Order: sequence, then C-alpha cells, then structure tokens
Amino acid sequence: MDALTKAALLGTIRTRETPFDADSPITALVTAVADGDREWALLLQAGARAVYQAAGMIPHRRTAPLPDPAPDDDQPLCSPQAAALLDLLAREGQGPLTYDELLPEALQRLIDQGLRVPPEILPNLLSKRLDVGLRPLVRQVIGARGRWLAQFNTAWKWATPTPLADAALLPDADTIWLEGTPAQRNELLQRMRAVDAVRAREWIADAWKKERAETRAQMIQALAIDLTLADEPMLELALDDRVQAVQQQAAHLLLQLPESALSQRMIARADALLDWHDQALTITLPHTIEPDASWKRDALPDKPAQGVSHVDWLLQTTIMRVPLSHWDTRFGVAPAALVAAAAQTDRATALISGWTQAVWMEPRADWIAALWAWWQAAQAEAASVGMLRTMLQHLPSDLAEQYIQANMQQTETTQDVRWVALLDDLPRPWSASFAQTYLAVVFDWLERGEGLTVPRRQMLETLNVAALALPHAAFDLALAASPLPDLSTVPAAQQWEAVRWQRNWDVFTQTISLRHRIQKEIH
Amino acid sequence: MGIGLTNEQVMAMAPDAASANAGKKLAIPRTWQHVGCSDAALWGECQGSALYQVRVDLSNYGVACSCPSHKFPCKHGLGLLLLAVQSPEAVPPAEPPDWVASWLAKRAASQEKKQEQLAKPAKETANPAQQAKRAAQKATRVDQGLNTLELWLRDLVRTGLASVESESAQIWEQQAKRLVDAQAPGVAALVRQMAGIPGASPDWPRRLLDHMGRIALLIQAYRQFATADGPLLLDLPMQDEIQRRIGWTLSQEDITARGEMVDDDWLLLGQVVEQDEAHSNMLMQRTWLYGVHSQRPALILQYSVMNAPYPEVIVPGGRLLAALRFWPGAELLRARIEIRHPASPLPGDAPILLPLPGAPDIATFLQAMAERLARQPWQTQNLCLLRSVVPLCEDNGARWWLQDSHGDALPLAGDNHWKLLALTGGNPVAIAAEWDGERLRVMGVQHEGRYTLLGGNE
Repeated sequence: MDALTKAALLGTIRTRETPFDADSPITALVTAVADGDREWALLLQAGARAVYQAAGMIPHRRTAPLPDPAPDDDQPLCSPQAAALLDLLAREGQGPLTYDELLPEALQRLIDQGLRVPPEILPNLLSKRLDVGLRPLVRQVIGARGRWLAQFNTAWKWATPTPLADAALLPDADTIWLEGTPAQRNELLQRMRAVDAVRAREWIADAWKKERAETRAQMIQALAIDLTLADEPMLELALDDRVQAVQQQAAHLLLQLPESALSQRMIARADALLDWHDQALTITLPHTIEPDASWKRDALPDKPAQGVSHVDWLLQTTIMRVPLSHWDTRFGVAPAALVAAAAQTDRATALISGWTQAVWMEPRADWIAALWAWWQAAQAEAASVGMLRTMLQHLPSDLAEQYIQANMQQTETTQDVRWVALLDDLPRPWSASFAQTYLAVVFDWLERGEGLTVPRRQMLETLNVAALALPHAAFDLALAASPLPDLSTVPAAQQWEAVRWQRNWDVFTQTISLRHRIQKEIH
Repeated sequence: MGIGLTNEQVMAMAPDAASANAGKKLAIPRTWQHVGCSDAALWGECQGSALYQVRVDLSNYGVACSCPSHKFPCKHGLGLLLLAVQSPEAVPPAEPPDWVASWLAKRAASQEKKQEQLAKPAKETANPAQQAKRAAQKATRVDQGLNTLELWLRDLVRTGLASVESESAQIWEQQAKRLVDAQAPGVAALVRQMAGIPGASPDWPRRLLDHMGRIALLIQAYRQFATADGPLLLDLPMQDEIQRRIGWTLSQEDITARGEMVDDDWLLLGQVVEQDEAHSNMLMQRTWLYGVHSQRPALILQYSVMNAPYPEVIVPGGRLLAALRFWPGAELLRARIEIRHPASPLPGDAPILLPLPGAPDIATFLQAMAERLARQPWQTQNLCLLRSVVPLCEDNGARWWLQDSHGDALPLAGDNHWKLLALTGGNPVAIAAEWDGERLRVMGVQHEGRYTLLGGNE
C-alpha cells in the first residue's frame, strides 16, 4: 500500500508526518492552498494524484499470441428474418407456446436448405439448454464461425470440431480410443462400428475388463450397429456381467439374433408352455415356476410386479421374447386364428400381451392387424392403450395412420376415444389425408356439441399435438375458421372454462403460424 | 411497408429485458389485426387479455398503447415495431383510421405548443433584485453545506478510513441528504457514490481516498472563484462547469443563450441506461453521438421516473441530421437536440456505413483521455472510439479485453460479450464504447461494413 493511502487509513492522528513528495510542485501548491491544515492537504494531494493516475493510465500489455481468427464460412447465411425467428425459438420458452418443440423443425429446415445462422445469434443458440439429441442438428447450422466460437467456452465444447469429424479411419483413432474423453471414445466407437465392425468389437473385448460399468453398457450398446451373429461371444460374455444394466443390454441384443443361443433358450422355454391341439391353444405350466439360475443369467426379471399372478407373468415374460413367426410356423396357423384361439384360453390377456410386446423384434403386419383388432375390442382392459401404443411405434407411418384414422372416423358410433391418447405416438408430420380427417372429425365434434363438456375439451386438447404434427399442406385448413362455440354467451359460472378453451385455441393457431413462418422464412 | 428501423434498434428501445422478450413473442402476424402503416404512423390491434390498440408516431417513434402497462414502450408497442421490421408484408400501407389520426393530431398540437414555448423569449425576469437575493441565499447555503462536508472529510482522514468499513451505509446517505438540503445535489451524488466503495475490492482504501480527493479538489476549485478576494484563476466555462458539478442547474433558456450550437451529421453510436444512484425509481439514459464533420463527441442525458417515457425518443444505431446545443462549460460534452432537420433519414434508413472514426490504437485513445482530464478532471464517462481492436476472452468468459495490434489491452465491463466475439470472429474491428476511466462498455461494433448495436436489453 502506498504511503498516502496508509496515512489516510490509519488516520493523521496516528501518523506524525504526512508522506508528501517534497520535490513535487503539487506539494508546494497543496501546502499553500491548505493553509497548514494537514488533513485537507492530504485530501487535495490524493485528489491530484488520482487525476494524474487516471491521465497516466497504462493499458495492460499482453504478449500471448491472439487466437487464430475464425476460418471463412462457405455455407450461405439464412435471411435476417429467419435469424430473428431462430433467435426467438432458441430463447427459453415461457408460457404456453412450445418454442422448444419448434426449434428442431427450424433447425432441420435450415439443414435441408444448407443454410447457417448469422454470428449474432450464435451465443444464444449455443447457450440454449438443448436435448443432447439436438446437438448434431445445431452443429450443422452454426457454420465455421460457430465451431470457432465454441472453443472459448467449455459449456459449448460439444460444438467444437472434433478430431472425429471425418469418419473413424483416422491414423490416430487408436490413440483417441485409448486416451480420449468418455464422450469422444463413445462417439469414436460408434463410428468405428459403422465402418469396421470387427475392429470395434476387438476394441471392446480388449478394454472390457478395465472399464467402468457405465462404459461397459455403452460399449455393448455400440454393438447394436451392424449387429451379427459374430457378436454373440462378446454378448454372452456381457451376459455374465455382475451389473444388471450391462446384462440387460446384452440380452436385448441377443434377442435380436434369432439364431443366438439365448433366443433358442427362450424358444425352448416358450415351447414348453404353449402348444396347439385340436384347433385350440393349450397352456402347460411347468412343475416349478420359480426362476432357476439359467433364467437369471438370461437377464430375465426374477419376480412379477405386485398384484400380477405368477403364472401370467411367467407366460408373458417368456412369450414376449420369442419372435412371432415362430408360432405361425410351428403350428401352421395364421396369426388371426392364433389370436382368436388365445382369446379362448383362461390366460388370454397375458398371452396376447406377450405377443404384442414381441412386435418390436419382428413387426409383422398380419400379426399386428390381428392383435390390434383384439385390443381394440378389449376396451375394458386397462392396458389396452399402452398395448396399442406399443404396436403403433413399430408400424410404418402409413399403416399407423390408417389404424388411427379408422378409429377416429368411428368415434361417433363406438364412443371410443382412446385414439386421442395415441395421436402423440404417430410419426410426424402427419400425412395430408390423415390431417384432413383429423381436422374434420375434431372440428365437427367441437362445433356440434352442446356446452363446454369434458369430452369436447379432451378433443380440444388434441390440438396441442396437432399443432406440432399437422403437415404444411393442412395449415390453411387448420386456420380457416375457429370451430369454437361463441364463448361470450357462456354462462358466468363457466367463464373460466371458456378462457381455457380460448387459450387452447390461441396456442394452436399461434403455433401453426410460427411453423408457417419457419417454412416461409427459411429458404 | 418498412418503417426504417432494424431489429437491434427496436430492442434498444425496450425498457427492460422482460419487455424485449415479450415483444419478440408478439411479433407474429397472427397476433395482430387491422395493422397498417402510413408515412406518419404505424398502428395495429393486438389480441392480449383484451384488445389493445397500438399507435406509433413515425416522425419520432413515440408509442402509445391502450394497455394498462406502466412500461414504456410496452410489449405491444415493441411487438408491433418488430412485426413491421420482420414481416413488412404484414403491414400494408393504409390511411390511418380515426383512432390513429386523432392521436396524431393531438400529438402534433402538443408538440407545436412545446415549440412555441421554447421559441418564446425567456420569461420576464421577475425582479432583478429578488433574483440576486435568491442567488446570494443559495450561495450562502452551498457554502455552509460545503464547509460541513469539508469538516466531515477532514475528520475521516484524521481518525482514519479504516473505521468506515464497519459503519452502516447510513453515514453516507446522511451526508448526502444534508448536501441536498444545502442545494448542492451534485456533490451529494458524489458522496453517495462513496457508499459503494468500502469493502468492495481489495484496494478500496485507495479508491475511497481517490474519490474523497476529487471531491476536495472540487470544493477547493469552487472556493477559488466563489470567494471574491483571491485572484481569478478559472475562466468562465470552467466556473460554469464547477458550478454545475456542485449542483447549480442551468435553465433551458440559459443553455439556449450561452450554449454552443453545432450542426452536423451525428452518428448515434449507442445508449446506456442505468438506475440512478440516489433514486431507485429513476433511470438515466446516456446516448453517445459523434459528429462526422465537427469530429466531436456529444452526450445526451435523459431521465425517466417511474418508467415514464423519456422526453425524447432517441433510437441509436443510425444517423441524425441535427443541430445540437451544448451545455456551456469546460467539458463540452453534454448536449440536447435543438433542431432535427426534416431531411434527417429514419434511423434504419441511415445505417452507419462509413468507416467508424476513432483512435488507431489504445495508446492514442488514452492520450486523448488524458487531455480531456487535464481540461476537466471530474468527468467520469467518455466516448471511446477505437478503429482496430480484437476482443479477447479468458476463463470461459469470466474476463474480457479489447486488444490492439501493439498488444495493449483494456478490460471490458460485464461478463457477457459473446455476441461481440461471435460477430468479429477474432478479426480486428472498429468499436464504440463508453469509457469510465477503467473499463469499456462496448455499445456497438462495425464488422464487414455494418454497424451493429450491442448490449441493450437482450
């Protein structure tokens, strides 16, 4: 600390002499002006010094070289209007408008058009709390400038160009595999798997014993890419892992290989349970229904959920791990007949649930048609919506739409509105013809009903899904006219409900117009 | 139809970040009905929790909305302006409807009245004798106030500054209030600034002492010309300056009579809005200008109390053909807009395109600042124009610098300069900033020939 500050800090009563520079002309001037007053002289001296200091300010001198400037961008810029839109969508969404859900659509649109965003919105876009799944989209629209910028902020590291950018066949791929960060290694492994499946498997086998459980699970997951029977030994090894997540991951992959030993073991278990005699299915229960060691090793759950019968559980758990083709091949009976026969057994729900859950291994249209019809008829089943959803997810989009469309059109007669809950599972965007049916059914329902009833509101709330799923071709139709009843005539007691209706409708129209802007501005 | 503004300029008009964001969300054509635009005005109706009518006077960007918000401009006004900027096709040219036309007429009438008042010769001075008496009374009270302040400052130095760290903030406020009562609000503000210093940084004793020293210099300088006996050391502009800093306000008439008028093509380089230290409900807006031909900076200060609109809407980021009237004094920085030339283009139609003037390097800029300080040692904020600097970021953006080609660097205020870095891409750029003697607050950057406003309400 300098002498002047020290004197002021301690107080002049504690310092004998005021530490002035005797040769300075300031001292002479200050002493004369202060007229013998020590404190005032000190203050004037400090004031003069402060001004001198400010006037003589020396900037910081930096010797470290500046970072390299950003390389030129060859990707064309999007329009200022598009940039303003992106900037808006990248802001934290508040309120009912679903900006977060519109961002992927806008990013994809930019990618399709080969455009990048202007520099000024990069910080906002990079800071956005993104789904990790969206990051690859963002990386494609930030241009060279964005990748350059990301190096200065560790939170944006994911957007920097990685050495992995050009496939896996880098000369130093092995080095990165051995020394990279977990995220880098995982990415590299997946790329390597796509390019050279054998080498990737060797990497896994070599590293297997040394890695943490989390990494082991990730490594097994990477085998899903280009999975073949050659991967079975590695997967069988993983089946012996002491961590359940790794075991389950391995079992999941082995089930996708019908020739694998695990698949064969499951078929053997199932065959012991189910048989076909005299145009009917028979279910034979094993002597003991307690899981044995091999059951546990195959990563099967060891007990039913509470309230589920042991037998049902055993049946469903086994059947759902056997490819559907096994049954119609083994019994020589068409799926529809098998489902009909299953419905006659006293374990109908468990058995049909098992088959439904086996759809993922082999989504066969004839099986799905038969199963769908059964669940559709089984309205009372609490699980029905979940089971319908399971199948929906494995249907090609045109088929999925066909099923839902049929249900929608029959709403009037069946009074069955389970499809409302399934709209969210349809692939987006919907087809134009599906969208048309949807709008006709829902608007008709909204327009014709009396009062603000709950079923009508359910219908209204599907607009939240539709706002994001309707294809561009249906925008005009969607916004043509409001199907809402005249809310001003609603009795006072229902006013709050009317407000809710109006808000729902407003969000729908605003979302659609935002999506319309995405189409229009990004080109 | 365009309205001659850019996105950034509309954002710069927003009173706070929340309004800016809300405005952005409203800038969707669907939210609006009966939107139209003429040469004189822009209008539209926004469906919020009720139907709000929004009007914008395009001659000066005055905004009025029928919503009950106290913010100015409100989110609807910002939304409509943004809509016109982003989706010009949604704003068709039209004849103003009655509710707009009548509002415009009313505005024109009140503006005329104001102009008349300004043009009127200063009110007959009530009574020269009475006036002189009042001035003498004020001088006496200021003298007394400054004497008390001096005693208190000396006392602090005598007993030692170490004691103030444990004192409550009240001691500063008490002194400040006394000075306000003594009709020296300028010094009162300087005393209030002291409250924030103790304990705020490791070198606070030095900072506090510096600040007290500058106040002592001001008091001493005031006495130098206020007491009739000493030799007259200070010229008239300097006396004006010192009186203003102590707390004399100049009447608009005084400024008209004695202030210099400069006609120029002014670059509206940027705007800084801060809460006033003494009044938490008061905002101070500093607009920094630079005359292309006169090559001088100017500062327009405006205040807003309780979110009331500023007296004049000044949209930064463009050019203004106008005559500015400078406050008389030694500083020659503060000014007001005297005459807006009718030919002055709208801000967005007059982007700052010419290469930004300014110092070639940091050493030259600091030299100019030293010269300014020599003329007038109390000015805290100044305009900084640098022609070629590179922004630098350290520690994930915890610290920021602007560096010139010699390796000299000045620190930036605040910690969010990512937009600046993104815009420059690490290449040298020209910037306009506010310099507080220690750090720069960047207001705008020129890159690839385009001037972009930074900061503001984003």
